[in-house]
Amino acid sequence: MILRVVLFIAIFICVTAIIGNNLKREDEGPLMSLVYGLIVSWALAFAVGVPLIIMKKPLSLMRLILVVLYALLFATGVFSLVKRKRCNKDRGQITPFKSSEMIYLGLFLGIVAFQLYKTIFYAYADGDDAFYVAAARVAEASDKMYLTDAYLGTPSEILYRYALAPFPMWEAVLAQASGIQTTLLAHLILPPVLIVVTYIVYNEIGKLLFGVESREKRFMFLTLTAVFELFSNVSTSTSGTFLLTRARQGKEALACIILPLLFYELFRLVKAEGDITVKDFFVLLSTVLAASLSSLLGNILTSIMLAGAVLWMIIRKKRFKNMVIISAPVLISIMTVLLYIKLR
Amino acid sequence: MGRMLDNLRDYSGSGLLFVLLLISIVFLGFRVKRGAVKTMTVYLPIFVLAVFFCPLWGIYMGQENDGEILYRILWMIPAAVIVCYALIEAIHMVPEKFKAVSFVTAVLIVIVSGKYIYASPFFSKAENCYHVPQVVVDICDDIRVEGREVRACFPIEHIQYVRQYTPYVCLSYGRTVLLGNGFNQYSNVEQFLDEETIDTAGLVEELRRVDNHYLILESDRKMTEDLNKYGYIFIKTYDKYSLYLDEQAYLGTEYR
Repeated sequence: MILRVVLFIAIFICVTAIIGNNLKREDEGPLMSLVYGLIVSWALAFAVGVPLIIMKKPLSLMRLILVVLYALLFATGVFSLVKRKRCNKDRGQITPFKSSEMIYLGLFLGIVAFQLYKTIFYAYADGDDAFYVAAARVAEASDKMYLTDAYLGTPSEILYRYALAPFPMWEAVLAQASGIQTTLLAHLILPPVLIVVTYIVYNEIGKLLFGVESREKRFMFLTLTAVFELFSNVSTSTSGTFLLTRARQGKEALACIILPLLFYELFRLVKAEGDITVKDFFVLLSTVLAASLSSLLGNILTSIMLAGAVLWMIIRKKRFKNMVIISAPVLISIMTVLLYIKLR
Repeated sequence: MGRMLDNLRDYSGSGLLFVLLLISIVFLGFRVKRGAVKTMTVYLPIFVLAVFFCPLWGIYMGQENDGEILYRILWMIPAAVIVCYALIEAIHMVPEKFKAVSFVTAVLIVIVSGKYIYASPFFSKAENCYHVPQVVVDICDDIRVEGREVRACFPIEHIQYVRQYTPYVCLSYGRTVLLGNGFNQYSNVEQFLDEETIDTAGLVEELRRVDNHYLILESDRKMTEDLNKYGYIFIKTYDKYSLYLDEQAYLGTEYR
């Protein structure tokens, strides 16, 4: 079992990172590939999962389609990785770290390592797991999606409030594909990955705030964010509490990865004075779809953030075409909400 | 507006982190020059706060019964990023030789304003790789019948774990009893378990109504009569819990 888990983690991280390589931009750190890989796999899980759930198709069909799509993106990811390696042969050396930078980086990594230790070796009793993890576990074992009451085990009508945000089904697909029980996957394997991904996003935001060269400030910033998350339990509703207690639920992914990533994307957009590339668009699209997978409210929150971006573009008199491009992913969110209103 | 303030209270909770966030936004508003950084760290949070306090949410709350989740609008402000960026800016306002001291002060400000997450009573040492109490794993493994599902009645402290571990064990009452939203229509088992002394006859009748096979109770639980009298046979003790099987229960795999 341990061997299978280790093997799964290695394959999962490598495949996800290579898939994400398709969307990683030249100026971003290599770790962002992992973030984009996750976002893309969530986006596809939403796009594939929701129609199948509505049509009451089995989870194994969703798994099959997703595996094919992931394989295709993995192949294109390998291609773009090789291409990038060829083009960047003469990449500059990384400047040696100063002692102060080493201290702050060490502090940051130490705090994150402590958080990961607590996540792996300590259990957090969260009542919502009784639905989300159980729904995934039921789907993994029965091959049916949302047709069983997760709490009781009795047959049930589809609850569209949950079925239109099928994050647990993505976990169930991973469980079916890997042969690792959802319970183990959700409580032991995914949380450390999701926590690390949050800090990768924070690191990239740090680069935008302080500039790539100002490593000392960035590492100080990261250390402070790690402390901030550690002491964010002022209520059960803060994103920090979700990060360190529920890193297996769609809501956590929304609060701690998807919305910070959208913040980062909009930050880049504002820095680029509203100019948007094809990759930028696909990142935005994937982020919006991933938000839809994570929570029904995710549709509304991403729409509000993108509306904010459009408002900024109107005030700053940016190109109308770019406003349309940025708004386009919101259509999916609106359609999801309308679908929910119709089906519930 | 009142319910949005309730949402805000739920979000900001007992600490001063939200106050720190507001101070950070104001500080950055004065400190940061116009540009992308100011747009994202000052104007965007103000925009989100304006959306949060928009009176139109009242319409949503009037129609839906989940208005208490609107605190999630505030997730659009990356609080950790804004507060920590403001603190770093503040640190770099003091002379270089005091940088280490000011950094420690910044860390202390965060610690004092917040609440240590691992002090939460909901954390406990994991008993296995599933992060499910070992007693639940042991009972579920023992009562599982290959090729079919069984139904069991677990003590309330364990109901959230059973179906996370195995979907082959169904429950006679689920977590809905704790949510208080009126969705617990399946059985009244929990009402019997809630009593200080359990009405044995009533409990057994209700369990049989929902085709329950196994009953798990604390071994020292007071009951009006012996379960054995009603056909529930004692099987085994697990830690402080006893497992009973309904002798009328059919546990075969052929459909009847």
